[in-house]
This record gives sequence, C-alpha cells and structure tokens, in this order.
Amino acid sequence: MKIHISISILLVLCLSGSLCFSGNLLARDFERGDVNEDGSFDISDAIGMLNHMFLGDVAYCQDAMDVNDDGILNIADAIVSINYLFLNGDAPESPFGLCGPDLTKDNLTCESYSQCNLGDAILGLDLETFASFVRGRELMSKEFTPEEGLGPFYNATSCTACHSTPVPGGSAPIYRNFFFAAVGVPGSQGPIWDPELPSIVMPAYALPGNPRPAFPDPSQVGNQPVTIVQRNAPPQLGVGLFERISNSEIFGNSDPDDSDGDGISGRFNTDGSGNLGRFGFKAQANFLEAFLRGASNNQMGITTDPFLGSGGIVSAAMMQVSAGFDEPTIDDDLIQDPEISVQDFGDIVIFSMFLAPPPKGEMGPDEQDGETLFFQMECNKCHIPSLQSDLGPVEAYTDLLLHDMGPELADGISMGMPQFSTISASTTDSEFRTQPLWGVRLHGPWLHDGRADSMEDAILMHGGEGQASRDAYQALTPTQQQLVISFLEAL
Amino acid sequence: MKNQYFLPLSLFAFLVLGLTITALNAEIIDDDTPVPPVGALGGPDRELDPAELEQWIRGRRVFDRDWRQSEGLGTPDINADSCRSCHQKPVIGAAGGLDTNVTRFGFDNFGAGPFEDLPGGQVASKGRRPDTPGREDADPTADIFEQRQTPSVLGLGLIDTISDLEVLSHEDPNDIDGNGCRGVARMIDIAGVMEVGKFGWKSQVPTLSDFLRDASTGEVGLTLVDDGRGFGLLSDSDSVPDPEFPPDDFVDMLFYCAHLAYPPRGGNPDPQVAVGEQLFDEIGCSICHIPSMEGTDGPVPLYSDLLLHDIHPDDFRGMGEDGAAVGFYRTPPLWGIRDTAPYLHDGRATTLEDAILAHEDEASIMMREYFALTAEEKEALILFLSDL
Repeated sequence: MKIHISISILLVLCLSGSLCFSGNLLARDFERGDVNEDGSFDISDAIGMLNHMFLGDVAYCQDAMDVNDDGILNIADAIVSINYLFLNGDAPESPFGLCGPDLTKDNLTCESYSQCNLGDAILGLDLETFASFVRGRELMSKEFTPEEGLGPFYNATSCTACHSTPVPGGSAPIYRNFFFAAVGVPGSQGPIWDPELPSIVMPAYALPGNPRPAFPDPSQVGNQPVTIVQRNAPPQLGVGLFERISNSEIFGNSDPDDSDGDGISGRFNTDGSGNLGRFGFKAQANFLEAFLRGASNNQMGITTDPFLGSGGIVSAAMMQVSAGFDEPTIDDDLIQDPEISVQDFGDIVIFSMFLAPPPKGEMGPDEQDGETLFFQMECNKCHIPSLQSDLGPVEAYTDLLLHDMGPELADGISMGMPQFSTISASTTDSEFRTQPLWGVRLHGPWLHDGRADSMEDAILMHGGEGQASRDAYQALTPTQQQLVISFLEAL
Repeated sequence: MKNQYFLPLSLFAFLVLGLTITALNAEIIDDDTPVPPVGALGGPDRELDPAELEQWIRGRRVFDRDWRQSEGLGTPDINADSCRSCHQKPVIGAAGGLDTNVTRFGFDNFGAGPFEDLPGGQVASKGRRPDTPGREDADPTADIFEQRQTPSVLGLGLIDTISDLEVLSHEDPNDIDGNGCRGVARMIDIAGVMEVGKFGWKSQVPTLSDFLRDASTGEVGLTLVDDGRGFGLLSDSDSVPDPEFPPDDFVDMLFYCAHLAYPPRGGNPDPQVAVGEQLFDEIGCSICHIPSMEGTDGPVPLYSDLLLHDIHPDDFRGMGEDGAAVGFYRTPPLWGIRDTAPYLHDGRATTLEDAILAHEDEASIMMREYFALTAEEKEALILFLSDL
C-alpha cells in the first residue's frame, strides 16, 4: 500500500512538472551482491566491490555493490559479503537472488545491469566507454528539430522513434515501417532520381511546407522497373557482437552451391574481397558505424562525420548503406554539416556496439521440449544457436548468411555484391539474412516488413529453403507447436 | 509478497522512462497501470464512481491497443497502429511530433488558385498493411502538400460540452468591432441539420464521437457501426469482417476520451507569469484565444474561440475545404501548449516565439504588438504561455 502511494506521488510530480529526469528516478532492476552479473553471489563479487572502491574499476550498478543497503559503498559491504559467504552471516538485503529495484532511497546509481534489464551494456567496458554508452543511450531519444538539421527529408525525428520496442535499441510496430523505392532490376538497383535522396530509403516526410517525395512512375525512369517494399525497424539488441564475429566463422557455415544437397545454401554477402556482410535484412553491411551513419542520414536527414572511421573497422566491407567509412555525409538543407557532433554521434555508435543481447527467459521443461523440436525440425540449420566472436559465444540463433525464402517473401530488392556461387551471380530478391532469434519475443510484428502478426504466422510464412522446417512445424500437434513457441519466447 | 510490489514499480519505471525519453511505440497500459489523479495530465476529469472508473480504464486500454492486421488494421492504408501511436506526448491521449504528421495534398495551380481536390481525396497515408503492395501516394498532378500535426485529445470532452450557440456568439465575420479579427464558425451538414464544427485543424468535425470515428478509420483503418452521422467508414477493402472496431470497445474509448482531464496549468510561481498573462490580454491575443468559453458543465478554460480565422500571408498555400477556405484554421486551444511543440497546423514552428511570429492577416496587429514589446515583456509572455 505504501508503495502504491509513493508511486502516485512520484507520478504526480512527474506529470505536473519537469521533475522527471531520466535515469535517477528510473528504478533499474538488479540483483544485490551479484556485482559481476554472473547469476551467483560469490567471492568474485566481493573482489569486484573492492576493485571498485580501491582501484577505481567502473561500477555499472552501485546499488548491486551496496550489499547492506545503507546507501554507502564501503568496506562494510565487502565484510557483510564475506560473513554471508563463509561465516553464515546475514544475507544481502533485497533484491537478493532475483531481479528487482532498490526500494530504499539513497544517492547510489544503477546505470546498467544487463542481466535484469533490456537495453543495458555488455560487461567489461572501461570507464570512458561505459560513460559514452550511457550518454549514447540518452541521445537515442534526442528529438531533432529542423533548426538542428532534421531533414530535408525524414521518416523519424529520433532514433527511438523506430528503435524503442520495448527499450531504446529495440524495434517498432508497423506504423513506423519505412519504404524502399528502388529503380532497376535486382542486382543493379539504385535510388529514385528526384528528389536527390541518399539511398533507396523513401522518406515519408519533407519538412513542413514542402512536397512529399513521390515514388517514380516507370515511364519517368526510362521504363526501368520500380520496386516499392516495406521494412520494419530491425532491433539492435546485441548487434554490436556481430561485428566481433570473424569472416572465417561466418564463411565456415556457408554452402553457396548447396554442395551437401540438403536444400539449404547459405550464401554470404561480400564486397568481393572476402569481407562478409552482417547487418540489415539482406546482410548488406558489416560495419556498424557506417550502417548507423547511413540510417541517421536516410531516416532523419542528420548528417555525420566519421567517428571511428576505417580505423575502427573490425572487418572491412560495407555495401549500400550510403555512408563511406571516412567521408562525411552531407545534405542540402541550410544547416551546417555535420548536424550532430562527432562526440555525440560517437556515443550513439558506442551504445549500439555494446548494447547487450536480451537476457534469456526461463528454460523450463516445456521450453526444453520445444528446443528439442526446434532441432528435430532442423530450424537450427540456419538459426544456428551460436557463433564464436572475440568476446565469446554469440548465441543469436543465426548464421548471418543469406537464404532463399521463396517467392512469397521475395521483395524485389537485391542489396548485395557478386556471389561466388553457381546458384546466381548476384544476391536474389528472395534471399534474406537469417534473422537472429535472441529476444524474438520482444519485437513483434515479425519478418522484414512486419507482415506476421505472431511468431506462428512468421514460421508459417517460411518458404524456399525454410519450407521443409515450416512443413515440419505444421505437421506437429497443436501442443507440440505451443512448445516450439514457448522455446522461442525464452530466447 | 515481493512480486506484488515489484510489478507496479517496474511499470512505474517504464512509465517514467516513456514519458521522458522514449517514443511510446508499444502498448504501455495494462489493468495495473496507475490512474493519474483527477485533473492531472492524462488523468480523469472528475471523481469517477467505481463502474465509471472501470470503463475509463477499459477505454484507456482501447486507446492504447496496437491493432493487428488480423483485426482489421488498415483500409489497407494507415498512419498508425493505435491511437497512442500519435497521441502520446507527454502522456497517452496528448499530442505527437513531426514524425507522426498526416500528409494532405491538392492542386492550387502552383499558388494561383483556386484550390481543387484531386482524385484520391486529400490524405496520402504514411503507411500501408505490409500484405498490400505499394503506398498510397498523392495524385501525380498534386502541387500542394500540407502536413497536419497530431492534436491533443486531453480536454476534448469538455469542449464537447460547448454549445453551438456559445461558439456562434463569438462570430464577427464583418469585423464590426474593428480589431482586425473576423472569426467564423464552420457549419457542417449532418443528415440535413447544420452543426458547428469544433474539432480538427479546420473545425471539420462537430463532436468528440465524430472525431474519434474519423480518426479510427482515417489513421488506423478500422471500420465502425453506422451511427448515421457520416464520420468513419462502415466497410473497407481488407478481408476482416466489418465492423472491425467492436462497438462496446468504441463506447469505452469514447467514455475515456470524454473524461480525460484538460491539461492543468503548470503552476509556475514566478510573478512574471501574471505579467505575461496581462500582456496576452493587452496585445489582443485573447480576442481569438479567449481564455474561457461556457460549457454546459461550467467554464472551459481552453484559450480558443473554436472559430475559423485566416492568420496567413496572402501568398499562403494550403488545403481548402467547403466552408473552410485556404488559409483558414480553427483557433487552436492553448491549454497544454507547453508540452506540444512543435506548433502550428503543420509543426513548422519549433518554439512558441516562432509560432507567434507566424501570425499574419487577422492576427497581424497582435503579432506586431508582440514584436514591439520589450525583451522583458516578451519573456514574460512566453513564460505565461509556457505555464499553459
């Protein structure tokens, strides 16, 4: 009851004025004592506290270190920990052993605790990088005005306009979909000719008072075909780890000629020099910063200068994201480029690079049975559970390769470079990158354009190389199908 | 025990997060979401009895509901998946930003006029159900485009209590009082009876129910049961049986919107607020933005006369409609204005001062008086507006 009252008081304060500062009032969940977020409370956590207090190690969540919940970080917290661990002393205060917020008021902060919260940082960042991550998380929600450089064409005024389900860095429902408008045949498609747009991303808006950009009629573009197709905002949680997966790791799962004859190819998108694509529904980019700089310009009309540039490239290749590694993006509104400072944009890059994957759900007996069925149906042939990176296993349930998804899902868009494959000399319009399944429960609607209302719809829309698994799903009993869904919901 | 309070707390945390830093793209309301206090932003307009409160809470969930394709989303065109998609700044039910504007189009002979509607109507929707190819585009001969901002729903129930006669009593079409301000009511033919339009940027809708029906179809693409008044579609081209909007749900949503409190004053104690309020009156802003109109349940402090005025320069280009010519827009209510940037019908004004300085024609005297104020006076006036 008391809690409810304080909620309404806070809510009134929050609603009636500017007393709502983000961050401080936000009751971030954590597990007290589990400083290294490994799911258990042990001596390594006590060492982590001491390293923060005496060696200046970065503290993602001070509340987790405040074991006795007295609002102060000091040696007493380590002593209580050791007493509990070795001398049957009192347990840490709540929340202990489960995720929850701090219920007592103090001045300690909890900026990130990715084991309990979506949208927080992966572990192991240094102080400077972590501070940049926290700033970047705020900047994701910055709403740009025309005076700050929004436009001349745009779909959104902030990153979180499309990346906010359910947290900054997430996805969005259908009404935030955007359109591609590509001129030409798959394999050699370009943006429309007028107005001068930076990419095939079609803006929904010009600045107020200006005409909305129109799709070209084929007669206006030399009778070349015009392809119009939608995209649902892709979730960002964990995507920074894709950059840490080596080319050879991705290449190792490929089978561009289907030489093992299992009906599943697995082609890679490449710049022709062995550098493989990782990002986007067509694996059209493998450098996160360039991908973000492309989206910033295409979706908001916000121009950027390189932050890491080619110096930050983990594996150099970049296709069709309309932002070169080392060249500034520019637009022709009257605002001086870049329209966001290198530091601010760098914070957004750092946020995206180190945004943690979504925490896994509970794997109970139902989920385990569902997992068994997932393997029996051979979903794992493309949605492979784990890839290796230099930061450890990436359990994203994707091979980051392109697969033919059949004519129903073919979208008329080819975003890729020549293929070393007998199947086709370029990527085809029915090929899509295997969508990662970690956190798949969090970001419906599903598929590249959001056409699937539910995960089951999405499964049933798999064609082409996914047809056999789809048929296997349909052949399951309703109870078994539910088990598969339960497993997916735990990812 | 623990779970009992963890849940509401994390919900609260999510609300705070949503209110302050993040676009609200997914459903944010469930049965446990706190109801803001009576009269607060996003709260009920009065004490509700338990049955009414239940209906209000149900209606809020309908307002928040993300409609799916299998439930009839789209005509197939859409501007939104839910009411909340656009009405969310700073709370559910309020306004939206530049990226939820609606786009309209027409032909005005490159500014020479007259304005003409083109095939396809005036609205070019932003999106479409993904299972339907293409996008709703403007007729290729369109030469004029106009964006429309999301108007706040807060307080609209109270505006609904203002009688047609009360609005008509403020008309001055021939500027008999000589203040430059004319002011004419928009008359709408509803099944043979003329009613005063009170809602929408061009006063094109007479009642709150009409307004919600119009938006349910126009923005979300839902079909409705026939109420004989002509707003909202009764059928569309998708395969979902009509009406797609369950009638009981619509009634609940109407109740919620009718009982959303008007935006409360900010309560800034700075004495300059009162100075600004006096200047607002002295330089003539209050001639159109009249501080209060009479409703059947008492005064309605909306800062509008609900009349159409032309405040644009002669070369202004925009949409024209029968009964609301090019350049004519309803005086927008100013209650809640501190939270609803950007301003004007298309959001072209980023700040309150930008918006004031865009006033021409009928409001040119007032705008020039504002321009002539001292810096301190201007600051006081903006301070007052920022408290609304």
